[in-house]
Amino acid sequence: MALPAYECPMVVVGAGPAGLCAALEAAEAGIRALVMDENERGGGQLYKQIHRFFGSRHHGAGKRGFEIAAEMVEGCERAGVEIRLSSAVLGCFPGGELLVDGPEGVYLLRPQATVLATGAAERCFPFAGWTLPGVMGAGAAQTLLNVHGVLPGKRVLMVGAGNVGLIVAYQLLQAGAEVAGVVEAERGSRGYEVHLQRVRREGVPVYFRHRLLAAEGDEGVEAALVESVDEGRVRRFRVDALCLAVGLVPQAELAAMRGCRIAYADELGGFLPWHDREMRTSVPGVYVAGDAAGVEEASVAMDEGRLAAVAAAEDLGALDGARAAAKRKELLARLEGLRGGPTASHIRRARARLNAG
Amino acid sequence: MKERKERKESKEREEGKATGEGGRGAARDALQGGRDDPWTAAWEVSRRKAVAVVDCRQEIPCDPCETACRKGAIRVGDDVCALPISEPETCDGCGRCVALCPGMAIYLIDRSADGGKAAVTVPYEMGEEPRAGMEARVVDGEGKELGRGKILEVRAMGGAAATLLVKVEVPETWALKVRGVRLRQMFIEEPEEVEGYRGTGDCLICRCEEIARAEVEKAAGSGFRSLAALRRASRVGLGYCQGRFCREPLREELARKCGRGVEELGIGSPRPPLRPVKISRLGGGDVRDTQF
Amino acid sequence: MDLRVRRHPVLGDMGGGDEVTIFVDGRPLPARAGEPIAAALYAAGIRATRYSRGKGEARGPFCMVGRCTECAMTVDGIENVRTCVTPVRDGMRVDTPGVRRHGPARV
Repeated sequence: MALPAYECPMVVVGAGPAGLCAALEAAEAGIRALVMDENERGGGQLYKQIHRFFGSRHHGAGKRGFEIAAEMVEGCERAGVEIRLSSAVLGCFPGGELLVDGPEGVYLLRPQATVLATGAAERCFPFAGWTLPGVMGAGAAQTLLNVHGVLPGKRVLMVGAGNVGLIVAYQLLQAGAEVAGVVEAERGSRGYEVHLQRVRREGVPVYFRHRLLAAEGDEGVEAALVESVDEGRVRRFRVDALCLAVGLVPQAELAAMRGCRIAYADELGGFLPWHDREMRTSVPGVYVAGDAAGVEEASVAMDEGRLAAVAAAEDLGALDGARAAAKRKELLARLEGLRGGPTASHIRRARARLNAG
Repeated sequence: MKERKERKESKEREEGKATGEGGRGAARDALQGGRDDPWTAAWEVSRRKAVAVVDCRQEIPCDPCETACRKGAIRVGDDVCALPISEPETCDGCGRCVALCPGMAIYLIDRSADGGKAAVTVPYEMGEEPRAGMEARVVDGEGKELGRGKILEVRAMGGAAATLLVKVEVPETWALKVRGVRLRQMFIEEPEEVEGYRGTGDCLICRCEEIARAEVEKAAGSGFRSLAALRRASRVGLGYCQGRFCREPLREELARKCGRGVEELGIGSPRPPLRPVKISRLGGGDVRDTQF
Repeated sequence: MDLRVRRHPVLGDMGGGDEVTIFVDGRPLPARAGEPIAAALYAAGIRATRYSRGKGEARGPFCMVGRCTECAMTVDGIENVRTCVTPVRDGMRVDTPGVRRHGPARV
């Protein structure tokens, strides 16, 4: 069995904000990157996002996620970047070959540089009844709502009051569902205050120091049992959907297959490919960017994507040292700015640890 | 520059353990030019005209309010996490910042009409359509209902997928409290108390192979102390999803059982293919019946 | 049960598009052209997409991005089709795999 194999200068795995920005930056340096994505549309998770984004003017802030996604995809088209959709990278071999399953068939790519921008997956936790239809990830609910125009339920309970949980709770309301509450085990929200306030303004109760015990139902969720951590009081919420927003995990499998050193940072979502400040992994020619390099904001993913491309372009000889250094300086300063506030102190801590080795 | 320096110092204090809040408060005072709060000046100016009040209290990386303002009345500066500073005198009350603020944390107040009334303009993105002349529930930042107000005007701003700006008339004393209007009545029933709750029993940890948590605990207890060993012992994580949905809980379970940190267990050794693919497809066979 | 969103404050009109008919366990179900099978089913309140092989428990869409395979159904005779990432086609036959045995016990 010999699969067809193709040589190319650079492959970017993932057409989300990190991957598309990496491809755009590479194009500026004269490298035509090939962007692979398993989804039918480019833009990663951004095209499911209907809220206006934080960040700066460099990141399309103030526009809605799907608008930013469309602009980036258009930018790639203008720059001559080829985005291969419905093309899943199934493997990454120690020699650097990528195994692709796409509309053309199954084939191998042999890139000189590989940027892994594979994003993150939703974290799960098992509880009684979590397999019932109607229990789903908050991201799944968002796909149903904002892409397919279908409510996950008429009355929904959200588990997790981080940014994802709060944003999706608000989006459920926007689409016409009722939100019976947001349940959060901690004392406060890890998310932005403004997201919490928006949900509260609509009359949704947020239950801190509460945890989900079980989902009940037969053919699907009919109720959720929630316990107050401090009092041990158990209550039953009549809901027909339960959304889980308890964190994201970097998708580091391809990096691990390739032999990249894997690091661990709880603050960044768990296991991730170790990388330096310039987004180089431990394997020459392999770079990482975006949530795959540690879960942060989309704006961070964009600048990390550009950084990774600058490193790759420099290593390929397409960008001389001085120009690479200048670009890098600007991007690193921007990233420092994005991670500058008190809500990112845990990120700064984790990044410092990672950079130290 | 002085403000920037203070911000930096306060960040350093925070990094160095001594918690930041006090230090950040000082930096914020400096940013606000020594005024008590961002509202004082706006309140005065609102006697004469509609003016934006920026209720942004958390230093998050965000600056669209600055670019939204065509008059240059809102400044964030080079530090994207700095709290915006607004100049009510320069503000022309156009409302672009209200529409574009991702946190929906800016609103307009206008006390120029007499009679103890104020007009407050808030952003609105819910399904029930507001129209001038309607009565709406007016809520504060916590979602507490202040009372009712009459909608004076509705406009759309902020690109093709616009945000609505709803101007509502309220008693002047509410002007600084109003943060939203609500048109919909949600019937959220109070959750019912469950007396004598006895626990839910076991649950599945691996959805695909239907392996219960107790089985995993038992296997871990009898010496299968790595993800790979657990997989071999019970088939946990070997289903169609390839362990994507049980890997993290399994690691946590195992770490607990072994008294080790999750990080010590390692990521495992993922192998291609990352998701199921039919052998026939890999061999170049018929591609029509291949879904995984 | 109708879970369709027709008008959305940000996305506008979501009700458009041609209608096609798919057959779910033999019964006709209207769907919007181009939407995934799982979305058409869910919109009509059909949340269970399969019954698990061991316990015969109802399962439904969980990730909506083709990862969890909980929504895998038999489509036009082909088994294990991930319905959350497979668009409907007019006249498509969609069958629920597995046999229902029991649901989780109520507390």
